[in-house]
Amino acid sequence: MITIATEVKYIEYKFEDLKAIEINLQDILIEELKYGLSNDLVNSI
Amino acid sequence: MNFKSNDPADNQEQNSSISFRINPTSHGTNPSQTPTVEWAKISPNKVIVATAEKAWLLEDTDSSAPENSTTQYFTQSMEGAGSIETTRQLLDGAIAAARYTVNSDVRPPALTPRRWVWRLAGAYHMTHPVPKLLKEAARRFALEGHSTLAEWATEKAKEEAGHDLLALRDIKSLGYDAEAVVKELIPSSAEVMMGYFTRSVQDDNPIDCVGYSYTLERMALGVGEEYIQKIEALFPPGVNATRCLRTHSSVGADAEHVEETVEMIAGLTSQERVRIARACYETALMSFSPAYNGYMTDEKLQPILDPLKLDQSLISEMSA
Ligand SMILES: [Fe+2]
Repeated sequence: MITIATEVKYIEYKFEDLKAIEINLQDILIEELKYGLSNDLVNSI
Repeated sequence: MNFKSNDPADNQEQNSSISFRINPTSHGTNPSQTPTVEWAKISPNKVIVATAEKAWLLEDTDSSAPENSTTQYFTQSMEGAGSIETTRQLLDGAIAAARYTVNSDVRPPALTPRRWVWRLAGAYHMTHPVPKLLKEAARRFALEGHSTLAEWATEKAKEEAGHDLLALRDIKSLGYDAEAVVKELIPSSAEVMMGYFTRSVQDDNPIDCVGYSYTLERMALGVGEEYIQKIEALFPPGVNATRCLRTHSSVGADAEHVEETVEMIAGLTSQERVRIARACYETALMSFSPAYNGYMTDEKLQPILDPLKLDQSLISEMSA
């Protein structure tokens, strides 16, 4: 039996054209919880 | 809101190009310093791109991405393996994107003890059917041969057992016949959320329920001791009406659950992680939306709740 090592794939991408908005969940949660969630529920499962 | 644009005019540090690397599908070492990336299309025109440090929301990805651009690349299916850090950012990004999408300044009215009872009734309806539904999800995952997810759902069903009772005890502590209250008060928003969760579970592949569960637990981490004390200050001394909130907060078990779940999700296939990210976005859309049918005010609650008040001597007996 011959075992062939799987070749690891490395790909790099340049991001010169990325039109994006950086988003931070922690900031959003802090702001949201000043009043309680907009849907007026306790976030529970 | 704290959204930063990476338009060079707004943000100098984003001005240079960034390179990303895709995690090899077999977990190997990473000799390069280039950040690895995960991404997910969470709606027809929105993509989340995440590194171990941060997440970005790409919008209008259906139409405006330049030909052969990197943005256009990210509209294709994600490839590569997940890692705890990039998967965490991917899911955080999907949840945050929902707040950005809702973009509403409508806020619930100030809390009062009666309005807290309303929220507790919502918490009851959001927790009561969960263990049974998660067991059903476990059964379906097992049928699909997905043992990791079947184990996750079985474990979660155990963790969530009895959380409905916390809400009932909190309502009782405020002096009401809790069973009667939850029969009377069924917030539409809670029904909408449970409808989503139930449909996820009943799918042949119930994987969306992972995103639902993760989102609620992740968002609960925004609740800290300070917030809990603010709620407690609404009640007279001796009332204990925050058991349910504490359990679903950063001081309760949810902090640990989030860690365990993100670790499990990071090990799933790229298609599965994309589906979970989308379910996170959809769940968070429901959380960040103003209450369906408007907000319940203290004035509207008074005539409903007053007849459900318990005899004071019964309350001390029950809390003993
Ligand atoms: Fe729970």
